[in-house]
Amino acid sequence: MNSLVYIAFQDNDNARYIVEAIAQDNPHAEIQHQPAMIRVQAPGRLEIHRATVEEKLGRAWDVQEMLIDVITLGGNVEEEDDSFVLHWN
Amino acid sequence: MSIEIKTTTVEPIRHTFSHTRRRFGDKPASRYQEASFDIESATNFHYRPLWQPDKLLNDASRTAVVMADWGAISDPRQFYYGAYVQARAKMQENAEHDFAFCEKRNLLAGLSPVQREQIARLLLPLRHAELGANMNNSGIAADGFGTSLTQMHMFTAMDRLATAQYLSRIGLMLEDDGLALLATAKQQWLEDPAWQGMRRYVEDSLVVRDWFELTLAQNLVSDGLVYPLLFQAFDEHLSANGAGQVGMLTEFMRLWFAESQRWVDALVKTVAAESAANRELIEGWIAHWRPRAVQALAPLADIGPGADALASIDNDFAARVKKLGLAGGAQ
Repeated sequence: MNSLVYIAFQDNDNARYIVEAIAQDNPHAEIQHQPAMIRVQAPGRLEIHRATVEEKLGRAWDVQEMLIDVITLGGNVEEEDDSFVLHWN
Repeated sequence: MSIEIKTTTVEPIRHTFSHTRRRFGDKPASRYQEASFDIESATNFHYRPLWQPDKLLNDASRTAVVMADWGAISDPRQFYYGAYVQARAKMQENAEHDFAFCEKRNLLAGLSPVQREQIARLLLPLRHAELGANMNNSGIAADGFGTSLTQMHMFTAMDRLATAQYLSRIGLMLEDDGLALLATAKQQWLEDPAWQGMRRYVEDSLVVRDWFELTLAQNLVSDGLVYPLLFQAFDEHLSANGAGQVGMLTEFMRLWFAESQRWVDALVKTVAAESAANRELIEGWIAHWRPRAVQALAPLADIGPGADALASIDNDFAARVKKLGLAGGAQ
């Protein structure tokens, strides 16, 4: 049960910080820079934490704000005020 | 018929500018990094400035604190021109909305004469102090070294003009003849005994040559005591006496203060952590300016929020300085 979960962002100034935060919180994640898109994938589970993203962005950040920059994602979503988790049930 | 869509990835030859790559490595860089680090000229100047021939045009030795690399300073808000302007445009839109609402509903009409007098005497002369803060921060932007550092001070300089303008507008809204009120405020700044300590502090800071000492005197010590006193404690004092609507007109200052203290703390922390010599200098400067600021604010505290409020603000300030890893000259 180790299929990949993934999330892809538009390659913009906002998303680069989010990807940086994901890379820090998920050392097992693989980050692919594609033309105009950044795809992050990991076996089993990916966690995005509000605190880490805020630290990288340098401002208050709402988890839902992320969806503006998201192109696609795969996995079961568990969304809280402080985190956004992708995993397969 | 089936269509197969193939994607081809082209690896970019360069991810970012060379100067950004040298500092942060060869990976896609943020706009903040590209616009803030290693931008300024540092070598190969043709001429020395006529007004200071012993220094170069951009010279790190205009302050006594020493950093191996001033590029170590970074802004936790990651403000470069674009991000800064967007953030301020948003704040201004909210502030304009609050002022318009206050004016439309004539919310200041309900103030008692005593409150009116208190607001005019405590907030309006402060616009002259804000202009001093503008000059100080502009000066630091000219003398300081490293774009990441100078741009924070330049942004702050512009913010101080905004605060001064909002204070003036409070004056214009307070009375039918607001202009006369502002003229009175200038006389209070020049002559009212309660303001002379503050005026002296501001005028003394205008001639501080060491720009790092100046940023401590202005952005850490003075702001760190004045803003909590006049925009937080005084606001609470007004709210408790049924004049909470004035808080709508000073919300910009509170939001700005909460935000801008983050870069001040980050700056002081980084420079103090660089060496024991830096820390000693910083502690000495804070120990010099802090008692002066507290003393200057005492008569203003008596007019509005009270001496207890000032004492508690000074305690909070001590805690903040301690959190930055400094002794800070407790009295």
